[in-house]
Amino acid sequence: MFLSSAKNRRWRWVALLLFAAALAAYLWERASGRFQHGGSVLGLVLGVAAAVLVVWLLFFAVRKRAYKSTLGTLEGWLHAHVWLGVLSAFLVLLHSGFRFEDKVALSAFLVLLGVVATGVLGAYLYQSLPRRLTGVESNLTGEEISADLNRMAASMARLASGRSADFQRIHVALLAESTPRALAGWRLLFTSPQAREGGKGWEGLLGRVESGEREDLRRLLVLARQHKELHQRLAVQQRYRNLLDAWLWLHVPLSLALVVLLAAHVGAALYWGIDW
Amino acid sequence: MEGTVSERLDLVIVGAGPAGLSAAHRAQANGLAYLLFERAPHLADTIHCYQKRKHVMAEPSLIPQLGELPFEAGRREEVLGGWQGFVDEHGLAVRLGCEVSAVEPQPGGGFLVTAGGETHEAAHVVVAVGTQGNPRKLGAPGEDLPHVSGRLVDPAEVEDEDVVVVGAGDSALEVALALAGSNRVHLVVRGPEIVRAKESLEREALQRQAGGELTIHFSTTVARVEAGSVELSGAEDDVTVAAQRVYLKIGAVAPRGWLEAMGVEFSGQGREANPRLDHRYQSSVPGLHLIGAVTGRDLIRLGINQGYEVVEHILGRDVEPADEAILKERLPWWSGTVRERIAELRREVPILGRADPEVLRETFLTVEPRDYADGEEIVRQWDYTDSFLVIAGGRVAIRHRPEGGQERQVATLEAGQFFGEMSLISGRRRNATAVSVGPSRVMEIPRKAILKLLAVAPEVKAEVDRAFLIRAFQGYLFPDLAEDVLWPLARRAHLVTVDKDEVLFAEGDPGDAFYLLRSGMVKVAKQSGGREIVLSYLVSGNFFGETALLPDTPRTASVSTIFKSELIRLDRADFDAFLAEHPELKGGFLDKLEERRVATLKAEATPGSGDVLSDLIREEVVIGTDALIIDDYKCVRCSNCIEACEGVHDDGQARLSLTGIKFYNLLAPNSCWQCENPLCMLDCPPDAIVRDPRGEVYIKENCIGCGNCEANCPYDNIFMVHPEPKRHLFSWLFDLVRGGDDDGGRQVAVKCDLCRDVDGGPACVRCCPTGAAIRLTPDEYRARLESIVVREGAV
Repeated sequence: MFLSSAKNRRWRWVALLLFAAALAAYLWERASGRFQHGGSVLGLVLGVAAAVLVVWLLFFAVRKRAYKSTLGTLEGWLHAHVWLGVLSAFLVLLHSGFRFEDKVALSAFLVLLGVVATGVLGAYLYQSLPRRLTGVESNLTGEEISADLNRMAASMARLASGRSADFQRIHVALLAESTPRALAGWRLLFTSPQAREGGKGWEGLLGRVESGEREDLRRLLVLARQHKELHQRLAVQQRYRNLLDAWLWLHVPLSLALVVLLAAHVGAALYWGIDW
Repeated sequence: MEGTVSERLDLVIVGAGPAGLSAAHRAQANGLAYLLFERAPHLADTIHCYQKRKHVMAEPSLIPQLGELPFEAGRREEVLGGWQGFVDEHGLAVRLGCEVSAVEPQPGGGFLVTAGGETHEAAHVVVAVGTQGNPRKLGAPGEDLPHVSGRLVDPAEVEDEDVVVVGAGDSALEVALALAGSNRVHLVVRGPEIVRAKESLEREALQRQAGGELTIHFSTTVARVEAGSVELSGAEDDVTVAAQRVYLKIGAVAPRGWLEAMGVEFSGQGREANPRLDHRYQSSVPGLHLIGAVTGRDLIRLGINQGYEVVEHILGRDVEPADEAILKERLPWWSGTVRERIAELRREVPILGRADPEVLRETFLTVEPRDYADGEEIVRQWDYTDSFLVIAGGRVAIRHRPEGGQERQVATLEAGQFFGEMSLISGRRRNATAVSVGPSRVMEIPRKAILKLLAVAPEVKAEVDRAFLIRAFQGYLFPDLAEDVLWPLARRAHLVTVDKDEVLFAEGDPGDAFYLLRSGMVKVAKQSGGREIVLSYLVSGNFFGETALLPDTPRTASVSTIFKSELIRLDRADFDAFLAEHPELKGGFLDKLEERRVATLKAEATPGSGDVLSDLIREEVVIGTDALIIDDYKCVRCSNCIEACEGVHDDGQARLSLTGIKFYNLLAPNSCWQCENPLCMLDCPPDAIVRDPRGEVYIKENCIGCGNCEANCPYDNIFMVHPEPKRHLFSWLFDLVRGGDDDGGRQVAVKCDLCRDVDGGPACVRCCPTGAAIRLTPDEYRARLESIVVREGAV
């Protein structure tokens, strides 16, 4: 699991140390009465530090694509991104002095919390999913399963060709059960494919066709069951893969929103004066 | 005698290939009365018969080209078009479709040449017919039917047809493979297996047979060809297969008989024998000259130069060979003409004395003469260089450092001796360091040049093999014994080739021989408690089975091959005879054996050792010197490794794909492992795929896209791609006007080069956000893999 890498464990200590230092300074200033709000000296120091940190955290997206960069490994950058990202929320909290009166600042903070929360979710998914995904992948890749599915569907079509209309209808219905519908990828995120059982109530279908076609229908049902099971296996793989990507659809837009709100907050602070 | 005798010609040229055309132009430029006869109805029949759009090479590129015949590497159509234009422009006297049926030397000198029903008198004849000769016949009824052909022009024109290809050589397999998949192809092979073709072609043919794309009929001959079908006669039964097209690729009859009938003498009886020629290309028949492929040197550029030179010689002018200047640079320590220099060198270096001087000219084209000062390193132990080195002057000390031990001198080589054969033969890293003792002169011969020499000069090869064996004896068994003492033993050894997965001997068998592994890999294993314990895997350069050399000692372990291997076998009886002659060696030898026995016991006492290693070996990953491994338990499937790979290479092509060999939670993806013995380097026509001393195998820009390396890589780790043209802001506008870039579907080979031009090492590893991608060298395999493997994972 990636966050357990010994080589990059130092970043969690760096984050913890910085947090401890910031907290100590805050408590000291607070006790001495010098810390009134974010515009006081320590408040400003913490605010500027958090803003610089946020900009640096955003720079991760650039570093990720700077393939020739020799500025550390991307693994080290991600570790730093995770731990210093969590730190940024605490720094902003101390910067605010626990006062949330300014709506722009409050919005920026809430969005920051959203960014951090989705980031923590991503880190959790990165920690836990690869192992489970490897388990369901076993020896078969998605492409190999797809090829198997196509072969089975072709066999089912061969069985159904030239049969009665009832037989054909059952064939179409069976295929439809495992055909992806609109937004299937997103649906997968919220439903567990493993929970759905294939083949329930299919036995009753045998009565719908002439007795001469029953044996072939039985073979069709066996194929359909295998098809569905394999399809579910592919769906589970895809679900994990989608999950590994999906959190970024929250994390990245929220980060962009944060940039806008942070700019507004800094602009407002500079325009209206820092000594509220 | 048929026809009439026309006016006397100065020169008749037979064959309108590049050599003949070059000679014709030179003759015309000098005002000679000449005629050029060509049997085929077109120029350059050999190249004309290439498949459409085939790339024609212009090697050796180092040699300047003489004469004006245009020629540079390019597509078949461009080369042929260039020559046709040249013939038209200069009005060369070429008679196409006119076969020369007789060349008769006349008593007073000159020849009577009969061609196309006419007889011509000529003072000189130049034969430039190539080696195509006459295609062999099947001798079966129906082989002259119109759907039977010796040549596939364009594979793209044949689709969804029944095709029969007859033959088992390279060209037969190339035709069958080009048509398989899009047609129903039957390959008819006379023998029980394919033995003459390149290994890569054979492998592909067998794979495609297994995949149902190709049907191979072994031990089968063609009984009859009919319109629409072919009757085959097999070892067990006869079958008739549908055939809309039949391709006969059963070789050609060399024109040797025709030449001998004119009185031309050959250097020997074998297939590799060439016509005896003097340095003016004149045969044993005065006035009859031979040039081009028929002389045994089949490179187009050489043929063109010979065409120029031969006319100059006929005119009585002494012309310097085109390679003279460059060879003088390559052989700077001798004086006189290149011929004199080579003669001198052959006297000084016995191994080269066994090779033909004309063949050596080609070998020396790429040789690097190097001067070394006292104490200067020539090669370094563990480097991945694989050239062959000949000492032309001075002395060289060979020093070996065993793993974890002290470096010690194992030999001092004198002028005339050679070294580097161990790496050359085994394809492994240098096993010793060579240092100049006093000033020395060393000729470094590149791997490809020396391999070509070994292929055509069996005596040189035998000498190199013997030296390999002697130095292996010195390295492992008798470190202090002089070469001349070991010669009698080396002479008794013989080479055996063993297929993959063969058992060489089993535990408990009586010991009868010991082996030195020349190339390949073997597994040493014992049975314990009903299961196999692998003791070790041995790669080329190692020896095994030496306990068999002790009296009445059964085999203590089983040895089987992992890959197809070449072994040097020494029988016990021969070894006993040697020890009987040298009783003083027996004591030291027994000590060595004891050392080996203790090492074996230690390996057995290490429980579980080699488990992951065994899996890797089974999957052949371990032969890589720098393998990419992905830990699937860390991999978040973001594909950043692939994007990074695309991003750091100018052509925008990735050198890895996330498919490959899976074991436990690890994936060895399809990405070059930098094999110890890279098969991809075996057959690269322009020598574009090379290995640098650090071990990285990379492809240079002169790749011609022939696909040999892709076919030779057994692991599918070389990719053929269409290079992306460099784009600029207004590319789209140019595309609109010109209709886009037409690179003619040009392909080049790409493979992982470990990001050799990028600071910081392989981008795939540096750009993996979770540290799942790692690179491993063989030394790290065991320790690091054991630390990251999770065995309960799915297999």
